[in-house]
Amino acid sequence: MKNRLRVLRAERGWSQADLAQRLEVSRQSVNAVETGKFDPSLPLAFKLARLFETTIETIFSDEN
Amino acid sequence: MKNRLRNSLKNLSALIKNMSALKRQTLISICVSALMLTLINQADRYTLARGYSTKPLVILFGFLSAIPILGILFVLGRYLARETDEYVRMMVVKSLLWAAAVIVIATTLQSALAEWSTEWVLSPNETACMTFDLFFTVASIVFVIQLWRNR
Repeated sequence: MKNRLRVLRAERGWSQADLAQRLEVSRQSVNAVETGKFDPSLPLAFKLARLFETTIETIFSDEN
Repeated sequence: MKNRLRNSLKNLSALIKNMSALKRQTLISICVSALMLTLINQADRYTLARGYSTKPLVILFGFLSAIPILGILFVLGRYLARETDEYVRMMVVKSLLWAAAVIVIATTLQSALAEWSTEWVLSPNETACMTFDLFFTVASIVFVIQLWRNR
């Protein structure tokens, strides 16, 4: 799954650690999601969407 | 050398302080269980060496050795159920699976070698300690590798 997490985070000037703190997860989790190594669960995807004030589809897209 | 050791201890205590309460409790419980298992095994060996071993005592030591193992399974289960970070939870599960795989391979190999030569025969206590130590060593190494790969 592709995601725009890095772009959205850069727009706000947040580091991975900042985002991790806001999401209440580890920095490794943010890095794994950002690099596409790990697909987040629905609750985490919703949390991300709320945080960036957008929809899940704007952040994540199916590679197919 | 002394300063290096002092710094390492300081870093370790800072690392433990920065951990969440759940991680700290889990780590401390595992260390206490490892210590308990070692003490029980040493007491068992001591009674055996001194010729104090009786059937009830052997059974008692057998049950006592199982307590730390059950404790650890309970603590790990509790940790996995309460860990809120799904990625960390996945890394822990992966580490435990790798450790379980290595244990199965090691014990199978050891059993096969023990059939072939008595040099490879381990006492139940030694097997328990080897399994315990190897399990957590492998799990820790795999966890650190995963953290490093995702740094």
